Amino acid sequence: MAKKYKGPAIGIDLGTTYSCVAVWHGQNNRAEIIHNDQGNRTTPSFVAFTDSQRLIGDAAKNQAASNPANTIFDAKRLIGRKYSDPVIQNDIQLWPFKVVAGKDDKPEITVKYKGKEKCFCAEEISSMVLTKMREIAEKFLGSTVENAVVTVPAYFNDSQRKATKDAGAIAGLNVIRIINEPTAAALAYGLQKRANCVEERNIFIFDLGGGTFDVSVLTIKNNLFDVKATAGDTHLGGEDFDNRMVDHFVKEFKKKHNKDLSGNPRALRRLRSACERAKRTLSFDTEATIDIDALFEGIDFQSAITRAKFEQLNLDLFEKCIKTVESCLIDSQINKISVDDIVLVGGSSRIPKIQQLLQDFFMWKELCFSINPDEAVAYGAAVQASLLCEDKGSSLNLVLRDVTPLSLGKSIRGDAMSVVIPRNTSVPVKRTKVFVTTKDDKSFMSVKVYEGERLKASENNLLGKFNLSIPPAPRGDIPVKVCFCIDVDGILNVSANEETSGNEKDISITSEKGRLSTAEIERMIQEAENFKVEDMKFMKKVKAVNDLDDYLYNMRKVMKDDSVTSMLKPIDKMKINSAMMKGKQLIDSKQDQETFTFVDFQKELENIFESAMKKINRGYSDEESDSDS
Amino acid sequence: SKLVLMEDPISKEKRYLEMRKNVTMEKASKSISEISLDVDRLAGQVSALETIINKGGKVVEADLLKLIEKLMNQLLRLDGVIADGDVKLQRKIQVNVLL
Repeated sequence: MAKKYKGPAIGIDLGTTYSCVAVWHGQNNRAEIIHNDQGNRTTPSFVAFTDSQRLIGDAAKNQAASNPANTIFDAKRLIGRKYSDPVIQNDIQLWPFKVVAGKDDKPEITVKYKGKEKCFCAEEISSMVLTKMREIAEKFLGSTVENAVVTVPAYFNDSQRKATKDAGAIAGLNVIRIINEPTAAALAYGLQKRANCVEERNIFIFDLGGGTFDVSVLTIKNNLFDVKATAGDTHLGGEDFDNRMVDHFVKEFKKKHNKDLSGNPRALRRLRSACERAKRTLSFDTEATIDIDALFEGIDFQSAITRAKFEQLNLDLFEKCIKTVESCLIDSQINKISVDDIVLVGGSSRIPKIQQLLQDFFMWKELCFSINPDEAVAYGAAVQASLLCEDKGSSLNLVLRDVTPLSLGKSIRGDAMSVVIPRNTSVPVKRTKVFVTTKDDKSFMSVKVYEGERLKASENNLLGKFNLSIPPAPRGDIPVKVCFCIDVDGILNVSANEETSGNEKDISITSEKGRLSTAEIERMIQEAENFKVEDMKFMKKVKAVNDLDDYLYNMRKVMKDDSVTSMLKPIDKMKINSAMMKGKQLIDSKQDQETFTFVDFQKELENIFESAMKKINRGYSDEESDSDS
Repeated sequence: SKLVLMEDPISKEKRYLEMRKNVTMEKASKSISEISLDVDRLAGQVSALETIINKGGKVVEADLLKLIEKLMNQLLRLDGVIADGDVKLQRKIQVNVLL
C-alpha cells in the first residue's frame, strides 16, 4: 500500500436494488453500518425525477408506483455496457423507464424533469446514489468525506469498473479502490477469524440478494486474499421467490372463489407485499398466514403457507443455485471437501432450504452467517477503506488480491485470440508476450486488445487498439514485445515495444468501450452540482412556504380571538383579511412562484399585522394612562 | 412485628405476559388510528375532486393518480398490521373505507 489517504474513508456497497455504507471505528475495532435519514441501514438505489424536484433513496422508491416512467433503478445493470449488448436489450423490456442509444452506443436514460426531457447516463444515476450515501455518512460522522472504497460484482469487466469509478468522481468522491463484492465479504469475515488464517484457507462465498445471485471461491493465505473463480445469475433473487408465491395464491384464490384476480394490479400488489412478508416469516417460522381484507370484489382472503410448500414452489430455483455453485467450484479447481468456510451474503441467503441444500452439498460443513448478510459487503469495504486510510491502518494487517474476470489478449493473424493474461489471474499483474509481423515490409503493427473467452477475437469485447510503427523488414523478423499490465484497481494498460528502433507506444484502455472522457466527467460533475443547487433551492422554497403558512395560521388564530378583533379598527381588519386571502392564494399556486415572493410577502404581512397590533397596544397603554391620571 | 416481603414469580410472569399482549394490541390499534387519520385527510381531497367531476369540470389525471397511489400506500400499511379481535374489526372498517 504505497499511498495513504487523509481524512475518514468510508466503504460503500453499491448494489443493484439496495446500497449500504459503513465506516471503520478505530476505538471499537469494528466497522459500523450507517443508517440513513429514515433510520434504515440500507438505502434503495433509486433516483426519481418529478415536476418539482429530484428524489434519491427511500423517497424515490416510495413514489415509484405513481411515477414509474421517471423513477430510475437498476442503473448497475446498465453501467459500463453498450446499448447493443443483448443483456441490455433484454432488460430494457422489463424497465418502465425509457433507455435509448446515445453517443458511442452508450445507453442513456431519458426522463422528464421539471417538465423538460433530460438524458442521463448510468454513471450519472449511480453517482447520485453515491452522493446520497456520502451525505448519509457525512451526517453521521459530522465531517466531510472524500475517500471511499466502492464494491462491484466480481464479474464486472474493465469498463464497468472504470464506469463505477467515474460515477464516484462525478459524486465528488475520491474512489481509492474498487474491490469485488465477494472479496469484501471475505474481508469482513476474514477479519473476525484472522487469528487462525495462518495456513491456507479456501472460502466459498454465496451471495443471493434481491435481484442477483453471485458465487465466488477465494483463498486466504498469510493475510493474502485471492479470488479463484466466480459465477452467477444476474436475474435470480428474492423477487423471483415472491413471484412464485404470488402465482400460487392467485391459483388458490381461483380455486376457492372461482375468480381470477390476475388482471387486477391493485389486488396483485397487495398480494405481493403480503407474500414478501410471509417469505420473511418463513425464514424463522414453519408456517405463515396471509390475511388480506377485501382483496378482490369485497372477498376477504385468508390463507396459510407452510415452509415445505414454499420450498416446493421454488425448488427448481434453489437447485439452479446449487448447480451454479458446482460449476464455480469446477472453475476454481478446488474440491468441495477442501472448502474450509462457506460465507452467506444477501438477504435471501436466510432461507433455511438454501442453507440446508448448501450444507448437504458441502458435506454438512458449518455455514457462516455471523455477519448480517445484508451488510457484510459494506462492512468489508469499510475494512478496506480503513486499511488505505492513514490514521487507522496500523491496527489491521491484511493484503488483498483480486483476479481478472475475463481473459485478456491481442488479436493475431486470422482473427484468432492470443491470450496474454488468462482469466482468474490475480491482479496486479504484468505479462509480456512477443509477437512478430505476419507480412513482409509492414510499416506498422496494429495492436487490438480484446477481453473475453471466445477463440475468435472479433467475437470478444474490443477494449482498444493502436498502431505501432516499425521498420520495414521481412515477415517474422521483427519481434515486438507487447506488455499487458493491470494495476491494483483492475485497470488495464497495454504497451508495445519494438527494440531495434526503440519505438514504443501504450494505451490505457479508454473511451473505445464507452468510458467517459475527462471533459465529460467534468461536465457531469458540473451538472451534479447544479442538481445540488436546485435541490437546495427547492428546500429553501419549501421552508419559505411553510414559514408563511405557519404565520398565516397564527394570524388566523389571533383573528378568531374576539377579544383581539374587537379592538381592531375596521380598516385594519379588512387589510389583514385581504392580506391573508392573498397569502392563501400564493400558497395554493406555489408551483409557479419563486422563493423570494413568499419571503417578501411574509415580511409585508408581518408589517401589516404588527402595525395593527401596535395600535391596539397603544390603545391599551392609552387607557391605562387614562385611568392612572 | 415483622413484615416479610415475598416475590411471587408466577403472578409476576402472568403480569408480564399480560403487559406484552396489551402492548402489541395497543400498538396495532394505535397504528390503525394513525392510518385512519391519514385516510381522513385524503378523503377530503377525494371529495374535493369528486365535486369538481360532478360539476362536469376536468381533473388533471396526474392528480388523480397521485391520490390513488397515496390511498394504495395506506392500504398496504393497513395490510401490514397484524391484529385480532376488536382491532381486527377496526382494520376491516378502515379497509372498507379505503376501497
